[in-house]
Amino acid sequence: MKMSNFIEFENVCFAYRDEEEGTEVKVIENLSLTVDKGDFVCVLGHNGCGKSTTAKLCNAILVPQSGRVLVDGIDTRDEDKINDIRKKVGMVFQNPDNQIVATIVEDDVAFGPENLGISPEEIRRRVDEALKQVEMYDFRLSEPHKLSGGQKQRVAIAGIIAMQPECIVLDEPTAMLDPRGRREVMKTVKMLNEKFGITVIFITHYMDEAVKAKRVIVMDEGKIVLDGNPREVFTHIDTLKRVGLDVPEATELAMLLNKDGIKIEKDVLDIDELLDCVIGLLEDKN
Amino acid sequence: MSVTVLETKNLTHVYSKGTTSQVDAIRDVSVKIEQGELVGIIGHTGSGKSTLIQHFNGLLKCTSGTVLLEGKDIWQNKKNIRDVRFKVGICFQYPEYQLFEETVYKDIAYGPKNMKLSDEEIDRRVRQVISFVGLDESYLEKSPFDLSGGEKRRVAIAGVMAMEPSVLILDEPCAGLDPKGRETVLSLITSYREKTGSTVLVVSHSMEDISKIATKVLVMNNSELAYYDTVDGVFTHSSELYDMGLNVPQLTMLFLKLREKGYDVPVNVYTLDKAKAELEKLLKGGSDE
Amino acid sequence: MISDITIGQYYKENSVVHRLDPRNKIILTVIIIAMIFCCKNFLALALVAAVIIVSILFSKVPMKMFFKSLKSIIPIILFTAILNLFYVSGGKEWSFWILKISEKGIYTAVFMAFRIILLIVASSILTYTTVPTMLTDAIEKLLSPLKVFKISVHSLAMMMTLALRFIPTLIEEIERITNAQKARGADFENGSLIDRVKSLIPVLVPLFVSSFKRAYDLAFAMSCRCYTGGDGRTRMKQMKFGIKDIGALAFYAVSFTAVILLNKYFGALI
Repeated sequence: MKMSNFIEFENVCFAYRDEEEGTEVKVIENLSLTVDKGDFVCVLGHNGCGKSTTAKLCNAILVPQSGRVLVDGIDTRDEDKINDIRKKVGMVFQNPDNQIVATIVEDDVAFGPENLGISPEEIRRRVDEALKQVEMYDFRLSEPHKLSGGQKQRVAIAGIIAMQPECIVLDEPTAMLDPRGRREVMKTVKMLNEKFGITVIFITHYMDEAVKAKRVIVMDEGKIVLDGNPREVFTHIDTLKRVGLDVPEATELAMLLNKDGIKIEKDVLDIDELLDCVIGLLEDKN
Repeated sequence: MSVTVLETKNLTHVYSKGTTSQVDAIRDVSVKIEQGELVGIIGHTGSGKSTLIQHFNGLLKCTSGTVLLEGKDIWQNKKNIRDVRFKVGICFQYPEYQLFEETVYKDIAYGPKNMKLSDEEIDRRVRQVISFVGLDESYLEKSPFDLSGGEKRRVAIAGVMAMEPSVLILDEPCAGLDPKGRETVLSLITSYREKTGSTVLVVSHSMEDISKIATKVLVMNNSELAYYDTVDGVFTHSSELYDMGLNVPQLTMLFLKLREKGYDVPVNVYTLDKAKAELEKLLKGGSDE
Repeated sequence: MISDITIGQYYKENSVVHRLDPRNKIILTVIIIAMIFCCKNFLALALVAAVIIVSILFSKVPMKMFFKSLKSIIPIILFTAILNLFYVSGGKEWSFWILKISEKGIYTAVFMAFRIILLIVASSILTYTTVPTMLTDAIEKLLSPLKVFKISVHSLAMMMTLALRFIPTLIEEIERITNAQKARGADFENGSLIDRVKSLIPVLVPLFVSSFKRAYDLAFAMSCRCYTGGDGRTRMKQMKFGIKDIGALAFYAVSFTAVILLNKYFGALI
C-alpha cells in the first residue's frame, strides 16, 4: 500500500432502509476514491447526492454495506479500532450549536482530549494551542451561546484539532453562517491545511469555497461525476448545471464569450482573473 | 402614481439595558415603501435588519417613532395588532422549524384559521398557495415532517402566503439551501409578486440574488438606514458598501473595475447575458476601429 | 422575559471563593444549610447570617446579585410567613374577624422568612462562584462511591452538564418559534385556559422536533470526539483541595459549634 493514500474507499456501497416502505434507498453506489495525505478536497453536490454520507463513512459513523473504507490502513468495520480512526479523522458538523458540549469555550475544546485520557497538563497545552490557532484564545472563558455562528464553528474546529487528528472532515460547516462567518471558517481551514499539513475534506455547495480547494469532487446520485483541480472541474459547466450546481459567474462568462468566438482563457476562477484576461485582450488590440 | 404601503417615521428601538440578549437596535429609520415593490434588505449581521422587519408587523414595539401601514399607525389600537400581522406576513429564517401540524394542509391553514375565515375560503387559499410554491396537491395530505428540506421550506413559506398579506416579508428565505433550492425559492418569490401584485421584502446576504430579483434595495448599517434606492442607485456605492462589510455583485464588480481602468462601460450589470453583451461590445468594438 | 432568569447563573470574578475546590464548596453549602436548619433562636440565625455575609464579601459578588435572585421567590417567602402567622399559636393573642394572630406566630413567621432568605442566599453563593460544569464534575466526584450500587454517576453528571449547556439554546429557540407563530396570528394572551394551553401546541411540537434533532446530532458529535462514557476519561481542570479549603472548612465548623452553643444557652424559640 502506498503511504500517501490516507483515506481509501474501495467499491463502497451504502443504502438506508426506509422503515415505513420497507425498501432500501441507495445513497452511495460503488464508490472508489483515495484521498492523499495533506490534500484539501472539496466535495460538491446538491442535497441528497450522498456527500454527507460519504463524510460519515470517513470516520466510521457509518460503515459500508459492501466494499470497504480504509483510514490510514485501518478498516472502518473493525470496531475495536473505532477510536483510533476517530482520533485520526475529526469531524465538524453543520449546526455549530449541536456539537458544543460545554458551557465554557475552553472546557468544550478540552472535551475530546479528555476522552482520550491525556494528562491534564498536556490537555491544557493542546487546548490553548488549538484556541490560538483558530484565533479564539481571547474567548476561551466565554459562553458558547454568546458567540457568533462563525466563532462557534471555529470553537468546534479547535475542539477537533486539540485531538491532533491527521484529517478533518467538515460536513457543510458554512451552510448556516453569514458571509463573514463563512470567510472566517474557510480561512481557518485553509491555514490548518497549509501550515500544519492537516488533510481536509470539505463538504459544501458553495462554489466560491470549492474554488479555494486543491481538489474538487462533484457527486451526484451516490457517484463521482467530476474529479480534478478546481480549474478543470469548473470548465464542465453543463455537467455542473445538470447536477444542480452553480458555476462561478466568472467561469461561465468566459465560456460564453468563447462560444461567441472571443479567445479568452476558459479556466478563470474569479472576477479578478477574468478582469486580467479582458484587459490583456484589450491591450493586445491597441 | 406610486402608493406608499408601509412607512416608518424616525423609528428607534433601544433594547432594555442590562439584559444579556444581543444588542441589535435601530436608530431613527425613516423610509417609505411603495406598493408592489420587491425590496431587497441587506446589511451585515447585527446591523438591525431583523429588528427593523419585526417592527413592520408589530412583533416589536418601537421605543419612539411610528410605523404606518396604509397610512395608519399600527399601534393606534393595540387590540388590532393581530390584524396588522395578517396584513404584514413575516416568514422568518429557517421557517421549516415552525411546522407542527399532522398534514401540510392543516399547517398551511393555521394562519387563515387564526384569521377566522370560512372553511371554503381556507380551502381555496391552501390550494392556491401550494401551487404558488410549486408543489402539487398530493402534498397536502402528507406529513410536513416527511418532506425534504427544500420542500419543507416551501410549505412554510406557503403558510405565510396563505394569509394573503399585502406585504410579505421573508428573512433569508434561501439560507442553508443548495443552489437548486435557492433558485426555486427565488423564482417562486418573483412569480408570487407578479401574480398577486403584493409588496415583497426579502432579507438576504447574497448581493447577486438581490440584484437579480429586487426593484429597490434597503441597506442597513450599524442600526441606521444607509440607503434606500433603486438597485442601480445602491450598487454604484461600491466602496461605501465595502466599508459596511458588504459587497457589490460579482459581475458589477468586474465592470466597476473596468471603468476604474478608464474603459467606457456601464456599471449596472447584474446578469450574465448583459455582461456578455457589454464585454463583446467592448472587445469587438475595439477591433473595428 | 424568560431570558432574565438569574438563579443558577455564574458571576465571573476571581476571588478566593471562586478558587475553592468545588467539591468543598458543595460540602460547605450543605454545612451551612444544616446550620440554618439547626438554628433555634434569632441569635443563632444572626450568626449564620453573619457567616453568609462574610462569605459573600470574600466572593466579591455584589450584594445586588443576591437581591436579584431573591426577587423571584418573594411569593414563596410571603406564603410561608403568612401560613405561620395564622397557624402557630402561643403567647399573647390578638383576634379580629375570623383571624387570630399570636405573639409566637409573629416570631415564627419572621423566623421562617429569614430562614428561607438565608437558604436562597447561601445556595446562590455556590452557583454564582462555581462554573456549572465544575459543579456537575464535583457532584460526580462526590457521588462516585455510589458506583458500588451500579449507579452510573458519570452519566448523571453528563446529563446535567448537557442540560445546562442547552438551556440558553432552547430559550432562544422558544422565542424564535413563538415569534414565527405570532406572525401567523397565534394568540398566546387571550382566551380561556384551554385555549391558551392549546395555543402552546404550535410552539411545543416544533420545539420537540428540533430538540430530538439536536440530541441526535449531539450524540454523533460526541462519539466523533471519542466519547465512550466515563471510563478512561481524564479532566483538564483538576480539583485541588488546598489550604484555603481547609481554612474555609474550619471557619464553617467553628461557626456550626457556635450555633449549637447559642441554641443551648439562649433556649429554643420554636
